[in-house]
Amino acid sequence: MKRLYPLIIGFALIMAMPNLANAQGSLDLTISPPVSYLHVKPGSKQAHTITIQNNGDHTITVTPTVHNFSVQPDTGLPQLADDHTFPHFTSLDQQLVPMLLEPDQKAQLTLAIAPPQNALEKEYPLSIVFVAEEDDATTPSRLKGSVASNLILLISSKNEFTQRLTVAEINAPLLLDSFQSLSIHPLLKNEGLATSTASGSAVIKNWMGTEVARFELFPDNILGFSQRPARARDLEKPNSLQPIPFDYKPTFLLGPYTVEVTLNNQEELTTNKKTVVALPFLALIALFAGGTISFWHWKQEKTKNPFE
Amino acid sequence: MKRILILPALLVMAMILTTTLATAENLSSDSYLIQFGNFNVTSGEKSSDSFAVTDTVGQFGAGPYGQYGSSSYFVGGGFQYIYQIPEFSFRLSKLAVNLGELTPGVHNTDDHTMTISTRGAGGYTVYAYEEHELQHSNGATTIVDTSCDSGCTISAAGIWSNQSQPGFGYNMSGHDIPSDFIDNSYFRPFATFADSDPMQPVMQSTNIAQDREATITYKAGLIGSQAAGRYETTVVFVAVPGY
Repeated sequence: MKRLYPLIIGFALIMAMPNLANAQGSLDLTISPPVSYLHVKPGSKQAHTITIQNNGDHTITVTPTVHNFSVQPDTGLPQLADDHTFPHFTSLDQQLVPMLLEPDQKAQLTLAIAPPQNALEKEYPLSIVFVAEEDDATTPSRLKGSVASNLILLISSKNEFTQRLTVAEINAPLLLDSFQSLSIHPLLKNEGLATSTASGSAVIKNWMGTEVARFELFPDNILGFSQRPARARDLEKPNSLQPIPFDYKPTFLLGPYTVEVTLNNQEELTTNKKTVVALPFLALIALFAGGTISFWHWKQEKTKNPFE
Repeated sequence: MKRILILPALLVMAMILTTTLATAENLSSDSYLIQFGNFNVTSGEKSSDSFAVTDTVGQFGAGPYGQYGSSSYFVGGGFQYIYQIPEFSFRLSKLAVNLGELTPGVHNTDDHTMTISTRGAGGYTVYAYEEHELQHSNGATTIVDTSCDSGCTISAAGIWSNQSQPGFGYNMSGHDIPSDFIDNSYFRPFATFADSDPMQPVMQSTNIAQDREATITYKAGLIGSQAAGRYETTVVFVAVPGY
């Protein structure tokens, strides 16, 4: 029994010091809300609050900064600029000061927005970035982690906005092999001032005009005067936040197929079309190659035995 | 008898030492402090193979009122209101890179993971950049960013396995990483803030993300004429949600 005591004591001490394994520390940040849409009328005032929490095991210093963002045309994701150009924050410099956050502590940043009566009517896509670093870092090569909260700020005196979404392009091949799937990539364009939400459908019809596939557009937001690739809703999981691709996968495609993308704008339905032709190209090539080889072989045989 | 008592005493001591202190949530602002902030009986997410539900039991006036972050008021009564307040979280498993003492002709490496979760369907991007090139603690010697064995840029990875090829760069593996990191021999140099390089995406997805994790591996090497020793820079990661 005595032999077991050192083992038991060792086990007790190891269990008592579970944090030794985390001696290097980690950075763990949560921000809320990640995205906000704010409509402020010229001459009025509004406040916007963002909460950041330190879930890590070290005290950190968090410094907020504000940036414009543009939209990556191929993904619709934000691309940050070095600085911002929004001119109607009040006392911004007093707000953007470093904050000390202990483990599990939260902090809030409240931005005051006050556009004057003559403010330019415009939508400003902004990112508020919180740059965090260890408070007492003495290590030479440090890591800084940052999280951003997007703020899409619309300055306008209007109460309602006409939805002005269009289909800029339907990316799909003109020719397709019959054994491939028909994939389409509609690109939506917002020609209006304010962010609009995509709503509508994409339909694929065969050469007889029969509908063979239908997709509903995922309700993505398209910022004012910008473009974004459309995505499809998973109709089998109506509440899913996971979009699906516009893919039509039958066993065999044949002939011309018409792709129709219809947008449910507030005032009218707008439809764009594109035709894709599917033929068994690979099978035809294989047939042609096989025929050529057979003919060549037959010709060789005939040359060898001309009297057969 | 003593022997019989010592073993339970040790076990009790181990339990006491390993138990985490229970702490209640405190809610506070400049003008108020509420201790033990959760007044309801039970709440949370419940699910099985066939259902998923959230509930709040014992909460008066459960539900969200107003629009969080945009209207002039917001009341979150009950548990469900958190589903109207999506969160975006980002984690780095380390706060420092340790490449050790660099010597000519040998590559040193270090790595860590980064994890991201977002409840929104708009996706996310994690960008990375270095503040400046790796500098010796004497301030005089700099390790240039890698150009790999036969060329790579801040946006296109290349193979870097030749130990006599100096430089500083990184490799990515895991979820949602750029497709040019084909395997662990492919590296890129960091975008350099001091050179006004645009920061580069190292993780990116247009879909909802739950605990998406990638590993970044740093690598550095010297040429013969450079001073051995400790070199330093700061690498910055910026996690940006979609919209």
